[in-house]
Formats: sequence, C-alpha cells, structure tokens
Amino acid sequence: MKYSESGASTKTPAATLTVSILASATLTACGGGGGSDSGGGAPGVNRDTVTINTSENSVEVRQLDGAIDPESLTLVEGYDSPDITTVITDDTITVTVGDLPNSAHERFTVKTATDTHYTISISAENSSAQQTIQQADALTEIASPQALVGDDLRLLNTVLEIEYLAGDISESEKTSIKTTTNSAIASSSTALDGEITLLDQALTDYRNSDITETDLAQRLAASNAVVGELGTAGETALDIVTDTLTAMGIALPANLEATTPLRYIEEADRYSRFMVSDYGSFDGNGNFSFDPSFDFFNAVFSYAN
Amino acid sequence: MQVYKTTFATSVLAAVIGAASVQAPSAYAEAPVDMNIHEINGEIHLIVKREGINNETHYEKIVVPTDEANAREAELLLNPNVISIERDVVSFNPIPLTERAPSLSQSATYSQSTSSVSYSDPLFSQQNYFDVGDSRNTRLGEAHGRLNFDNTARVGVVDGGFVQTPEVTYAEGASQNYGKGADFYNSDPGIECPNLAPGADKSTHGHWVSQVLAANSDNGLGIAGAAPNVELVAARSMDCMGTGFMFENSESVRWLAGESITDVPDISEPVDVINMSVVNMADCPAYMQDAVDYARARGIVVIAAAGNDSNDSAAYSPGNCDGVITVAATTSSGSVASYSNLGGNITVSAQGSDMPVLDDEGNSIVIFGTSFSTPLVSGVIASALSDRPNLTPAEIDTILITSGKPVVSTGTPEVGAGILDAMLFLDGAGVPRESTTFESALGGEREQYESALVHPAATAYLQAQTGASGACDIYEVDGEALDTPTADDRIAVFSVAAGEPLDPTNTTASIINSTADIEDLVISQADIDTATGSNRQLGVAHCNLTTGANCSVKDTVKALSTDSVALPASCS
Repeated sequence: MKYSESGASTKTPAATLTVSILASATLTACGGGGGSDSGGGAPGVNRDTVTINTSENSVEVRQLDGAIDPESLTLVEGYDSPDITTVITDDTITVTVGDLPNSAHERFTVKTATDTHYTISISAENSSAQQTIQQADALTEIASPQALVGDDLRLLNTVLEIEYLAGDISESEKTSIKTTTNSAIASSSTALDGEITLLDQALTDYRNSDITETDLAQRLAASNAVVGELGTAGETALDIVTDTLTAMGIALPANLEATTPLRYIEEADRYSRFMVSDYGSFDGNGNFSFDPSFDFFNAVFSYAN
Repeated sequence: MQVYKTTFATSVLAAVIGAASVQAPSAYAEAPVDMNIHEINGEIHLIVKREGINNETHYEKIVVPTDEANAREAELLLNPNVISIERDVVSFNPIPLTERAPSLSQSATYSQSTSSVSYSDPLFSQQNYFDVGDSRNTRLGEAHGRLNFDNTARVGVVDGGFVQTPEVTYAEGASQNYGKGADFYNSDPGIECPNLAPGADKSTHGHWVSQVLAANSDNGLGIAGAAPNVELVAARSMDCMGTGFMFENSESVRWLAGESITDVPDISEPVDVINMSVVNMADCPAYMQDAVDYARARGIVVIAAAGNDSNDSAAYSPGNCDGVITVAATTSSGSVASYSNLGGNITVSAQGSDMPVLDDEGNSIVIFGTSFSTPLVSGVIASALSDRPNLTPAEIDTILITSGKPVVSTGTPEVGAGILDAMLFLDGAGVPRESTTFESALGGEREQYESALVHPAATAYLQAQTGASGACDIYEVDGEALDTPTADDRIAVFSVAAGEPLDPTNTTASIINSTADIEDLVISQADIDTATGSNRQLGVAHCNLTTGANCSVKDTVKALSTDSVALPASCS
C-alpha cells in the first residue's frame, strides 16, 4: 500500500485527538493487521502505511521502525472515531476499539526517529451488525420482490408441467394458472417493494454512520414483516398443485406459510421456505439436501443435491 | 430420335387386315369412319351368353360362316340357356390419324410442393408430365414425392406387342388369342401372327403403353414409369399388327380380374388396375360391359383410351362402357390433342403427345395418342393405390371429378375433369402433402424441468395418469394449421387404418388427443405404438373433426412421422 501525499492533511486539530501519548511506556508487539511499504515522494524521505482492520471490543498493536515522535502525529480530517483509542509508546502503537453503534474509521500520520513518515489507517467493523447487514443485503440485492418466492414458483411450474404431460390440464390452462399466479404475487409484493426501497436507503445511511445498527435492524424487521404477505401468496400458488404433489407422495404442510414461512436462510444467504429442517439439512460444506420423503425437491431445486 | 406420327387411317388398317379378307369401310383420313367390323375372313364371331344350372352366366365364342350367321343365331336363341347373342367386333390399338401443333399456349404455375422426385433416366427431362409446378400437366414428380409406395399395386395391360427388355418388367402375362396360353412376348415361341405380312415388323404397342405406365426407373434406360412400384401383368389379346377382337379384350379383363379362362393359365393374383389402350367404334358390347362390371365388383379400376379419330368418344368402346375411366389426350402444354376423341363420356385427360419411350431395339422415339395418355392416368391411380390400397373404383371415380385442371382452349371441349393433376388426385385420395414430427416433451421450454420430470415420483404419476412409461415417452406435436380457425375447428392427433385416406372423419379414424386451443398436443409412445402396432397411420388435423369442414390433406391435415425422436441424455 502506498500512501498518497496529496490526500494527507497537515493540520493537527489537537483538541479532537483521542490519541494518548505515553512516552515512558514501551510496548512491543509484532504482526497482524496491515502491511508496510516504502513509497515514492521526495528523495530521502521514507513513507509507509499501516492498515489495521479490526472489529469492536478489540485491541490491536503495531510496532514501527523506530521511536515515534509524538509531536508528529497529525489526524486526517474526517477520520476520527470517538470509539477508537490509540496509544503511542516509543515505537509501538496500540489501538483499542470499544462498543460500536456503526462501523468506525480513523486515520493519522506519524514520523519515527528513522525519519519514516507513517500513515496509520484503522477500520473497525461493528460485528454485531453483520448478520443484519447480510440479511439486508440479501433482500435489497434481489432483482424483484417476486424473486423471494422463486422456490414456490419453481415448484408450482414443475408440477404444472407434470400435470400437462399427464393430460390433467391443457397448455392454455397451464398458461392461465401461471399468469394468474404471477399477477397475484406481483400484487402481493407491492408493500415489500416499498420496504426494500427504504431498507436500501437505511443500509446506505448505516454505512455512512448516519443511522445506528439498531435503526437498521428495525428497518429490516419492517421489511421481513411484509415478506410474509408474499409467502402467503406463494402458499396460495402451491395450493393449486397440492393434490398432484400428494398423489406423487409428497405431503406439504396444510398451512404452509404458518408452518414453514418464507424467511431468510443465513446458511444459504437467501430467502426460502424449503431450506429448513422440516424438509432437509445442510452438510458441512453448506450444501442443502432434501430428506428422502422430499427427494423430488432435489430434482426440482437447482441448489439442492 | 425418331418421331412416330403414324397416319394410319381406318382404310389402311382395313387394307392390312384385308389381307385376311376383312370387309371394312373405305373411309379415309380424318373423317370419322365406321370401324364396327364384324365379318372377318368370311366368318362371324357369335358371342353367346349362356346361363348355367346355378344361374351363373358365361360367354362362349362360336365362329360361323357369314351366310349362316342369321340362321345360327336364331337356332341358338331357341336354347333356353342362351340369354343373348352378339357379333364380335374388331378392336384396334388407337393410332393417331394426325397430330397438329397446338394452336394455343399458355403458361401458368401452380404452387410447388416442397418435395418432388426426379429420376436419372436418360429421357426423364422430356417427360413433361413429371414437371414440378406445371399448371397444364400432371405434376407426377411432386406426386411421387408425397407417396411412400408401401404397397405394390398390380396393373394389367390389355394390349399386344409386348417386348422383353430391361426397361419393362412383367410379373406375369398370358395371351387370350393369337397363340392362346402362357406366352405373351412378341419373341415367345407360342405367339402367332396370322395376318402379319412376311418380313413386316410386329407391333410394339403394348411395349410403349407399359413403358409409360411402369418403365423401370433410375436404370439408365429410357424413361421413368408413371407408377414406380407396380407389378405389370401383360394380358395379350391384340395380334401382331395391333388389332384384335373385343371379345378377347373382355376375356383379358376377366382373366386379369381373376376368372379362369379356358386354355390360359390362371393369373396368380387379380390386378388392381386394368389399362385398355384399345378401341372399337361400337356401342359397348354386353360381354365387355359384363367384364368391366365383373372387374369393378372385385375392386378393380378399368381405364380405357378415348380413341384418336377426333370424333365423339361416346361412339367408341370400351371407353363408352359404364364404369370405365375414359381418357382423352392433351399436348405437353395443355392443349387438347387434335386427334383425341372427345365427348361426354370422357372422365379425364392427360398428356398423350410427345411421349418419349424406347422402341424394341432401345432407340428413343416420341409417340402420340390416347393410347399413352391412358397409361399415364393408370399410373397415377396405381401410384395412389400403393399408399391407399383400399380406394374403391367408385371412390376413384369421385376423386377424378375434382382432380382435373383446365385445358388450354378458347372453347369448352369435352375433356371430362380436364388435365389430370396427380397432386389433386392424391389430395382426394387423402395422401397428405406434408408431414410433421414429434418432439420430445422434455425439450424446448420444458428443458429446465427435465430432472424433475424424469424423477421417479413424476414418472410414477405419469404412468398412472397416461399409461406412458414416463416423460421420456411423451411427445408434443404442433398441429396448428389454420390462421383463422372457427369455433368448431379443433387440433387433433388421430389415427386411421393403413391405406385409408388420412382424414380425421374417416370411418376408421380414432382421435387420440384433441384441443380447441391453439397449442401443442401431447401424445405418448404408447399411443404411437398402439397405432403403428395396429398398422394404422398417424395424422395431425386442424379442422372440424365432426363435419370434416376445413379438413384437407392439402394444408390442414398432415401425416405424423413416426421417425425416431431425439431424446435428452436423461432418457438414455
């Protein structure tokens, strides 16, 4: 990593510094969290960067190539977090991250006795929010809300094709069912569509530290509340082929959405009502397989083994 | 190439036969003449119809001196088992008196079929009646492309002058006269030529007729026959000069139809079609009418030449007998041949002029006459019978009515239905112009569900519902053919008995699946096996399945090919 001098600030707003200087203490540590590199710049001046990626409630220690001149410490404007504390002792920097409401970032420069100019870049993730963020990402990254009931529609369409080949329904009946179902699901997805828009904005706000983890979680909960409407529409669609599935020896619960609701599956990072223990299990590699009584689904869903 | 424009007038024929003291009228050239010759060599042939003890009837020929004929007739009529007596008449191979260039020509085209057949025979390019899209000819090339030739039709040729060459193959033959018995080739030792002048060439009329009808195709010789898959049977009843007696012609008909004739070996199997390029200017003799009736009652089609006297065809037998398909001649460009007899009894017309054939030495020649338009029609019918062997003579009569195209003429010549279009004839016979194929139900948009559709659970369900062994044995058929179907039109996959017209309203038809919607139809391998195992044809129709409205093999009814279908790997 090379440091770009043009991006550096030469100002030293001492009043906002949360860096404590313990000149008498000597900490020794090594390794972790970043790299160093000699960069370009003026001849005779060594430049290096130390990047520290960490998470909340953690301590990181880095040793530089010589004693750090405390007077050289200059904070980069806009990269100061009240939840990150840095201690300089001789040639060592100790970074302490507390409880974070958002992700936190801090960046400053120092000069050592060997005349090396260091840029220290610290990023601390709010680890307690990771699950919320992952789920919010899954919801906001889908092509359309209807995609959440993709499993239901896939199963419906598969069984409709079987019914067609069996002569139970005509091609036009098959088409009509598909059209009606798609229309109903589109109608049921209107509320979720609006919620996803709000969730997308919340994610942006959270990443900009404009809202907290709690705010994001509340927004996600509001979105999940309306996912159920779509799940009910999916259940209604599958009711059309329940008799055929039963005749094929595949028994879905009578109250499908109530029993196995459409929900986020963390292991698969997607929404599904079928990737749950009622129907099958994940192996150690994260692959899902349906139980023998639902083996047909292994042939229906491409994610299944 | 030699061009035979034989200008025999009746007088010439009479002169030839006169060597045997035939008393014939002495009219000349192009004026109609009385060819009703009864007295030959001072004798009359009395054809006596008798009734047997079981009410069966039969004919016998009694030859008496001319001056005793009346008395003998009177005597015979006193016998209670004698029903009637007729005096036999001389028959002739109709030889064109003249051939004039057509006065009109007109070009037009018919829609061209996508599949047509051409042959490698050296003279094939001169066989205009094979030309594709010709609006004034028979379009045999396209017709052959529609046919499977699954069955071998048998065609009898009542004639004389049969030649043994590689170009024509006879399954069997016999002579009813002039060497009565098993021999029939000109070169056979049993053949008699009583009136042929020493050193004179024997007639090869039957050889020419048979070539037009069924010359061996793609054999590097001569022409392609109008019917490529037939068994020819030579029924020789004309002498070495192309003359004979109508009674022996009728006996040939009976023999070809399976009746035993004294001193002639029985035919191995009756024929399906009888071609008679012989004429006599007379009312239809009762014995000939009976012979024709006998043949038709056995499902045999009888086709006869109209004659080449530019005269009223109704005056000529056997073309004027009931139940005979009588053929006039046209030129290759669709004009009425100037020599052709025309009249109300003409059933249909066909090219009779500029017909290429080989002579008995293998030289190419061009011939003219209703003698050769007749085997062209016989060939079309025999070809159709190869795919539709159950067609009856009455059905063929009906089909012919709508199988003609207009001749080139400023007037309204009596040419029957017009120029026979083999494509129209096959339409009427229910031979589809197009065929379609199945597609695996696992293909196309269903490909994405393939794994699920072949899963054991799906397979068990499909077995229970359809009887098919699974999705791999289910196919789809696109039967849509009508742009603007009516409310009564449906798309159907159906089967009919082999040989029957491909018609969903046929009495043997069985609808396998149908829909009122414009969509693909599903059919299982079991359906196919049931149909093919029962020797039935499969078809797809888009028309009114009840009334037959809109149902036509021209466009809305297609054959369903049972050729193997490409299946996905999961089916293997």
